[in-house]
Amino acid sequence: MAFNVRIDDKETSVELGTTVLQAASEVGIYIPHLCYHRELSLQGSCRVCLVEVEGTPKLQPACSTLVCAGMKVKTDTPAVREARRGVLELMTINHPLDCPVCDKGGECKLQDYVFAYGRGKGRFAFPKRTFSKEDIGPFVVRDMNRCIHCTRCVRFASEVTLTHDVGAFDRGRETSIGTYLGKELRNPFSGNVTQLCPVGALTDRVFRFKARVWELESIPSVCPLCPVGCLTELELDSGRIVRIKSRKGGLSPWICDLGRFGHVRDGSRRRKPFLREESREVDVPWDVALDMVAGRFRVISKDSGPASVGVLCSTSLTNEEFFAVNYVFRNVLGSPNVDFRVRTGAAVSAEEAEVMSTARTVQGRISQLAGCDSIHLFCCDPCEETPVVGLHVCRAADSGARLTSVGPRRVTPRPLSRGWIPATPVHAAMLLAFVSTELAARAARSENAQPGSAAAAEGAGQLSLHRASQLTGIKLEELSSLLEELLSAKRLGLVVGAEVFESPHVYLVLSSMLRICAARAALGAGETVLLSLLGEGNVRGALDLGVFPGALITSPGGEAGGGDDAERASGSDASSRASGGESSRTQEGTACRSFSQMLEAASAGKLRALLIVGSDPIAEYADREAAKEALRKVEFLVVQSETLNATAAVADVYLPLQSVFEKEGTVLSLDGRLCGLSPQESEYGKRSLLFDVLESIRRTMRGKLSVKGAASVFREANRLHGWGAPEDMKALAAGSGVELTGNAAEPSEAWMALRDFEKKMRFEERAPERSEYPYVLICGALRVSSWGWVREFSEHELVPKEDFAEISASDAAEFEIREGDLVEIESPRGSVEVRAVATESLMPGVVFLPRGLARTRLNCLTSGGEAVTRVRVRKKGA
Amino acid sequence: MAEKILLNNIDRPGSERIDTYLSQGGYAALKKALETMKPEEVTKAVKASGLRGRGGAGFPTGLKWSFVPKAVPGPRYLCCNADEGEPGTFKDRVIIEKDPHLLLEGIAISCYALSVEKAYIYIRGEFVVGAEKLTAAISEAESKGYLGRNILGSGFSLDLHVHRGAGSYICGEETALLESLEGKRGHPRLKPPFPASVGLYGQPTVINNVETLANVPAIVARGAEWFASLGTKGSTGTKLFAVSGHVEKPGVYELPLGVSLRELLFEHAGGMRQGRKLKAVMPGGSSTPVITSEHLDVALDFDSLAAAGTMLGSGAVIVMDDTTCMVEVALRLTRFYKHESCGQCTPCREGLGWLEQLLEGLESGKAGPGDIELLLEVSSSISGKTLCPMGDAAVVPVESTVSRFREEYELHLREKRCPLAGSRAGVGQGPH
Repeated sequence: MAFNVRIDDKETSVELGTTVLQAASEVGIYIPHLCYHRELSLQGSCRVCLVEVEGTPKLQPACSTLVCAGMKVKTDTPAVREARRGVLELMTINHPLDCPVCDKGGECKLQDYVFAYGRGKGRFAFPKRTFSKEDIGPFVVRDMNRCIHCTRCVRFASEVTLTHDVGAFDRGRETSIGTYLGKELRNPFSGNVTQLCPVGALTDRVFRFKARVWELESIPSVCPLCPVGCLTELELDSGRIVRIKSRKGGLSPWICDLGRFGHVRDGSRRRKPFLREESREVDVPWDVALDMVAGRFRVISKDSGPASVGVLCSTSLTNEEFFAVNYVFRNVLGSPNVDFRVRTGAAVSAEEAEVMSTARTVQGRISQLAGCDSIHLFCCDPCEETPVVGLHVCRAADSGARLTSVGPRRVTPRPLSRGWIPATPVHAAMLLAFVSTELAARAARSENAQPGSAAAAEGAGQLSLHRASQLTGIKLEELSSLLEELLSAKRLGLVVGAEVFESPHVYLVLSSMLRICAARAALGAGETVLLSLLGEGNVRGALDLGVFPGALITSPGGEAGGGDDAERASGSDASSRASGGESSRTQEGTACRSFSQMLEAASAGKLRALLIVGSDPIAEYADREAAKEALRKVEFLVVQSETLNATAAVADVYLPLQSVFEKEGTVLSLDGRLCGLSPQESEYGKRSLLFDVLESIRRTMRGKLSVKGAASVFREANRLHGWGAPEDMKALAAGSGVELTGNAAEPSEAWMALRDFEKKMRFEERAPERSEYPYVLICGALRVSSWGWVREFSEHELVPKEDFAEISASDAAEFEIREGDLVEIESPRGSVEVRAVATESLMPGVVFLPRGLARTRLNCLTSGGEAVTRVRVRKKGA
Repeated sequence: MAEKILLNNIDRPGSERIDTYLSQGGYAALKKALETMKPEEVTKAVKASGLRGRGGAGFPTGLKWSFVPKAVPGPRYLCCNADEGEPGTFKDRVIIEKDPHLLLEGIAISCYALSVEKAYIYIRGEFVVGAEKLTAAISEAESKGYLGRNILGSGFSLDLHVHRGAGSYICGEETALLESLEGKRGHPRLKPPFPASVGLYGQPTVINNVETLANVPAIVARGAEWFASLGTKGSTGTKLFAVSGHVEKPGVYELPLGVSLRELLFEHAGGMRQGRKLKAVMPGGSSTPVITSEHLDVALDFDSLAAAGTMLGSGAVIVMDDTTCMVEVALRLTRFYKHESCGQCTPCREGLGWLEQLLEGLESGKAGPGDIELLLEVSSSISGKTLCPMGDAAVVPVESTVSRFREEYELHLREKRCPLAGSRAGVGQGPH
């Protein structure tokens, strides 16, 4: 229902529920406001927005007064001006008047308002109220003396992040804003409060005193660090990023701390290429290094065939880089050795490839989560892994969505962990398989089932919930209520953790998820939003552009020697192939090698030259010794990386690489949005150094398509993949991205059937209570361990002083392990020593080791092939 | 002496016990309401009685009840505001401690009228004895079937809880009370929405003062017409006057509304202490503007006091004789309000401290020229600009003492000291 209101001399028609402030802004009348923020609840406490409403004796706060029919508002009368003057005077009596030394100066709303509406001269002649200093953590600096008590930060922590870790203490004029129990502010979104704070009370520790805001250049970009694809605004000082802020028009008005502060580097990176000659590092000019790399790859591929060369990428690459890697290695060199999955790099069968590809085509939109009435979190902690996805789950939870989760760790923040079923990843995968099969069986039995779907019911007998309960030790009632929840939701969100993606159960999990979608559709249960968190960086780009075995590949193709040309897409007219079906084909798993197969080939002397870009397999591959051994046998190992990592330390040739903040290009979000990156300036310029390497190989091998720079590769990829993005990458970066595909795939009956590999899968029984290695080792990404590389933050609690492993509080009590005790974690393959942290957030019977710890070599304990790593824990000195 | 409604029982031995209450015809009104009246008939009677809220604002009680929407799903609540914290006010405490069953019966009848099945008594934290007595009275009443499930076989149930505050004046403000009751910081809410539609836990809620609710049994028992015959036309019934300060017999007096200030002070409260001269009276608690001896014949009811430029408020009559320094009165009350400000909105949080500093300057002789004008300007930056009514209340002592005793302020400024500093020797303590 719309009605007319009059604001000053302007008449406007607004909807019911509009506030005076919003209505005024619609007609271009600005009303000053401080506590009001469009993303937070109404507070109405700063009183700067008081206006006159005809017929109301008192001035009314514009931010929280709803307009009604025929309302007449006046925003600039003597009474309003006097009230503003009065409130601003009161706000500044205790506020320091030292704007020139305050970091907020130039972007401070209080400063602007006092200048525009204030009295101009102070009348307060008493000593100012002061508060004691308090350190609230590595990212946010609190200066209570500047606080105007708008409580935006408090509302943010209680309404957006649901962490409730910022609050108001004491009362009256002594009211202060702080963190509970004096702890550090460590929620994943803490940096947003510096952007929310209208004054200099909460400032950005990384940015403060580095530059004055009016001297900064601001350019639009997208965050490349996780696959959410948050829109960002890079603020540059002399071409270098000094601050990153969220940008309007994206998924969320908030960005996570990693996105905000993750551009900080500690300056230890390597800048010059070198060759290893008899274990000495010899610096060489860039051109010489390039010629050498191109020459050796050419010679080796000619001598021993294209299968003797390969490449391992990482998710820190842009789509253009992936495209060029694929083109140069698959098409120009004709190599079957392309992968980006460094942790397990498992082989992919045709059936598995199909499941992965289908799961990607039904991938939901992150924004759909907020509208779900029930969300199931499978082995994931979205606020830790892809924080802004977590915010959407928080929003759904805040508006009443029911939550269930399965996994070894409790989901954060606490309100999201309702309905947690503790289970190891293997048990969780089993449980899901059983639950989905049961759902499929119900769908098959239902009245409107297709005749062909009887097959779906097959196996439901042996995969009964009862059996699942026996195998996993999870109570039958819990399984049934989970099943009912998955069935009864009107709009169900299914979120699959990133860690699943490189686990041996990925196919089981994804096919079970597809089965749930299909069974719900067949039962008429409602919409299902399936969202796999996939991994880090530009992982969706790596998947869609096919830099892994078993991928559907669209590439210029068909020009290289060495391979079987008939098997490849032929012809050189790229655009015709993009529209036709013949551009896509699946390289059979046998024809392509995964990274683990590449390592096997290397061990057998069959892989002679390997390019590793941005990746560190010695630190990350599941079997450290196997990786070391195999890479040692690679005759010509080229490592291109930002820093001199463990693998670079054994490379024959090392080449520098820029950071993701220094190159132009595009990335894909996990839900399929194509976004453009804007680079900061670097000594290498804006072109990717990887292109130089690929281009020199291409030139040596006489490939047709030049891969000199991002812009031309982007044009080629855009055309070939039918992205339909603007040709100009700058325009792409300035916008909010291009949605590449809709929710193309409709749930199909075929998804409900059990696949062969599932039928063959042997479900492992629970380990005996007191086996030699009684604990299951769990690994996962934690934000806290991601900050280790930033020295600036190391004095804070956020970065653990020492590497740590989590064990459940009950296990700790049983084995008399106290917080901080040094423990030895031992698997049949090796052992590590870390500090123990006892927590209620971990299920008993497992040990959790975060990825990316500074010293602890996680892959000393694991091996490539096994689904579960069992360990024992011994207190040192006991 | 005039008829009493509220203080009939307080002098009987064991007045707080249910047996005493029953022996005086207690809970008969509840029985009458449950057995012979429909809920809406009770509301109608309260409306017809002309009962106005006794907490300070004087809003017609029946009208307030009628704002509760009928068709909202989920529970509705009644909260009895027993957070008696206004300086000078101690009238509810008498009912709570001496005749708790009167309050319980009033609550039970009101809940019946409003179809409320869960009610809370939010009691000031410092009223430890009162909370104990109420708790004991509730269990007595429950065991006799006047509270709890299926009251007197009527099918009507009421679950009544006592909730103690944690020591904050602002929690007497109805929306801050609700926040506190929900376990949050006692911060007033933005209005609208009003508690009648969105109150406790987001449900329709009625909040009434102790004295207001204690009037309900008599209205039901003896009829709205009888009640309306007491007092004046716009201010029906009797009122508890809590007289404090420089009188011979301070205490709580129940008198019909409309009684003159002179009668209250000189016939009931024993006249001025040691026969000294009356200087100023706050007729309804510390947030009501002062009046002077020229107003002695004003009738103590809502309308007459409003006409005299002040308010009936809570009926807390603070009496000050000629030894009282009005700057110090303003200072002490401002200090109280500053201490009790919740800190949520700017004018109240920042302004009251400044007022206190200015008044301290005046009282101690350190003020400069222009400080009285500044005092008034700061007051006007607070008054009418705050989120809740406390800002308006808090500046009343300053604004009203400057307006009626400007010369005394000027004298402080001129003499650079308090001119009355010596006059209190030998006559005891100040007003508080």
